[in-house]
Formats: sequence, structure tokens, C-alpha cells
Amino acid sequence: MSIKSLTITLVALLLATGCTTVKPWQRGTLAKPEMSWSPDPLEATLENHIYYSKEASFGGTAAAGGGCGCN
Amino acid sequence: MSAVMKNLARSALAVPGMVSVAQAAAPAEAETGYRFTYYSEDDSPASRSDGGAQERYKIQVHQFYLMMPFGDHMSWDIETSFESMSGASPAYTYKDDEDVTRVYMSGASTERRFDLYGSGRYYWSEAEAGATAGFSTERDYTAFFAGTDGSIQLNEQMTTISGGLSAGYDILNPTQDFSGDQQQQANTPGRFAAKGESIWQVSAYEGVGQVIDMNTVVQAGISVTHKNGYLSDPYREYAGAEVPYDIRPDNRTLLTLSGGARRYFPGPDAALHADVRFLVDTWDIFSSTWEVAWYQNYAPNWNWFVDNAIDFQLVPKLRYYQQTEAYFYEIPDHGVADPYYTADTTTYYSSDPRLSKYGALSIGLSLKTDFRQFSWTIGGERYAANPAYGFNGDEETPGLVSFWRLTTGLDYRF
Repeated sequence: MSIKSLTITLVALLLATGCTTVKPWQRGTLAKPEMSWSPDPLEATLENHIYYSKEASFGGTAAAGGGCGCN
Repeated sequence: MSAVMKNLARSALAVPGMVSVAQAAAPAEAETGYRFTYYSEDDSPASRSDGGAQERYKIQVHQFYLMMPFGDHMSWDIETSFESMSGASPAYTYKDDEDVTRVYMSGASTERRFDLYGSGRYYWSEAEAGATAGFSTERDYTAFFAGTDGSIQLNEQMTTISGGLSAGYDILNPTQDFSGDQQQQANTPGRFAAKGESIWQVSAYEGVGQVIDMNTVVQAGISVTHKNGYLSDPYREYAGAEVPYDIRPDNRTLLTLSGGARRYFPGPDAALHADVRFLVDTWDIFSSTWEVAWYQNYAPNWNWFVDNAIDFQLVPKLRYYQQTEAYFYEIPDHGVADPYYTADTTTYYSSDPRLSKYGALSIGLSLKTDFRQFSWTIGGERYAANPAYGFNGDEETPGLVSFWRLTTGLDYRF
């Protein structure tokens, strides 16, 4: 899939979702910890560091921790 | 080298209101947490390793986290980790006289790494901004970084626009050989070439998050990272070769596109996480990462459990990753007469398995138990990389890693 078509797909997904306004008092579910993008920050840090060290890719929402990662 | 990416990750994770989609306000309570991880890589395959099977890395990781509100509109947090590791790692891969792919493992070594990050955030009613700085240090590598990020909610707080900028500077000091330059070059040519070298990098992230309905939120983001400096692996060498066995371009630019969704299902009281990331870079690597996780809640309705606020959360995860190879990746044939390696630093080559065409599968399972203000977590992961998982049936890559990981820890809110 080319970058152009991927971008179009992602934007289309956002625009074509038929959003309905959710008032602040209706957001109890969205505020649950399991609905956050990273429910466990320490786990996310560790995972990102391991994957950074063992794979050629990093960045975006799956970025890595510090250090060389040479091994 | 990668410390700056951590800050970028924080920006990216903050896109549609990472902590809470329901409000853009400073956290009401403090939180602290500790994690211990034992990480163990499978031994290198005996049939493909010089000198038979060798024990690869075993790592123990201690992590600590503290987040405190500061007044009505601010918070600060620190995060630190300490790692101790030992074991051998692949130094280079080659084809022998019989065209069998073999991996030469470095001697077992013991290393330690420490990092510390601190950040502060300010919250408005519909926006927030933060700044982060930190460092990572180990015997042969020191990294510094700083960054800033922010987000604003629009469209009746249904849409969140966020962005982040980070910069980092790394210093390499891989050689511990204090003999003369000529001897260092002969004994440790890779490390000698990297002596005193540095890397700088800058990253930018832009994202948009959207609340779809009472149970669904999605996000999309784009990031660009540019790295400049000594990007070769100094440990890919052979004593006596006099030239490094790994020479890479001194520039790399990476572009990522990512998307994600969170959907809550009231019936089973569970949440589905789905994330995808695509990456392209100037080393001709294209990769995609796909992740799904299911957060299943269970709260027993018995008096003792209710009185003590005890509930459980079981989280199975599945991750798939695949990448193409870097344009300078090659497994040299040591059976030919002409030497493959050269002192010409503009001729790029590397047999690093992490730059090959392969795929990786990972499955994980964790259990979180809440007890009043405490949460105890235990979980494990199995990760396996293989050329076949990346639709590469032509090559063997014996240096690719497979590992087990066990993590447990405690969180406390006050």
C-alpha cells in the first residue's frame, strides 16, 4: 500500500465515522483507564525499548526508550 | 540514541487525551509504580553458530514511576529504569565455504544501563502542554534529550489536535582498549571507528484524535525523525580484520503513519484496542506493525470483594511486525577470494539481522488485580522473529531473536 493511499484511508476513516456529539457528562466510559491510549505507562516504556532494540523501526506511537540498543 | 523517541512517544500517546478523554484537567491524585522484568533470549542455534550454541542476553529491569499533581493546573512526573544484562550477541553473519549461513557471536559481556526522565505539564480547560528532559547512561553510551508537546480540544471537545517536538544528542564511547591507536584498530576495528563519535536527532509528531460515540475513540498521527552521526553498530567487528564489519550511512530519515482505535463493549465490560503503524525510511526499509489487545474486566459481586474494591482485568495481546531489508544489508560470502569488507566508509554494508527482511509474532497475557488504592500486575510475553513470518522464504537469518519476558509490579494511588 502506498503512503498516499494509506493517508487517504486514515483520513477517510476519521471523516466517515458519522460522529455524534458526546457531552462531557456522557464520557464516563471514555474516561475508564482501559480506554486510554496507554493504560500502563511503564509497560509501554518497556515494550517500546525492547522493540526498538530488536527491530529496525521506531517512531510514531510505538517509539522507544533510551540507550544504545546495540545488542 | 533513542531517548528522544521516548518523548516523541509520550506526545503521540497523548493525542486524543491519553489519560482521560472526558476531561482536560490536571490529575486529581498522585500515582507511583514499580515494575520488575526478567527477559531471556533463546540460545543461538548450535547448527548455525561459530563454536556451537551460545547463551544470548538475559536482562533484569527495574522501573519506577511517580506522578504528582502540583496545584490545580499542573503535574510533574519522573520515570527511571535500571537494567543489568549479560550474554552474547551476534557480531556478524556470513556464508561459509559450503554456502551455509552462519553467525559469529560476540563474547559474553555484562552491562548496566540507567535512565531518568522528568516532565511537567500545565492544563487548561481544553488544552494542555508539557516539557520533558532526560538522559540514559551506560558504560559505552550516553544519551540526552529534551522535548515539548501540547494538545488542544476542539469541536465541543470531540476532536483533539496534538503535536510534539524533540531533540537528542548521543555520545559513543565503545572502546575500553587503552593501547595505541594502531593496536586498537587491529583488535577492535568497529569500536575504534566509533570512538568519540556522536549522533544527533530531531523528531516531530502531529496527530488528531476523534471521539466517535460514547464508547469509541480513534486517532491518527504522522511523525518524522531525522538522525545524523555515527549510525553503524560498533560491535559488529572481528579482531584482526582492521576494518569494521558494519558501515552504514550517517543519515537516516524516518516517516511513520499510525492509527488506532479504542472501543468499549458494555455487555462483557471489556475494551478492544487496535493499533497500526507504517514506516518508511531513507534506508529503503518499509515496515508495518499491527497490534490488538482485549481488556476484560471482572468485578466479583461478593461483599468482601466489593468492600475492598477488588476487581480483576485480564489482557491478552497479539502483535505482528514485518519489515523489508535495508538497501545495504547483505550476508557476505567468506568462501570467495576477494575480501568483502573495506576501509572505504562510503561503501555501506551490514549483516545485522535487524536490517534483514523478516517478520515477528508476539503474544502476551497479563493480569491486573486492584485492591483499594493498590494494583498488582503480572504478565508475560513470547516474541519470535523469523524470515518466514515476513514472507521471506529465500534466506536464513540465524541471528534473529526470540525471547520470553515476565513482568510483575505494583501501583499505588494516593
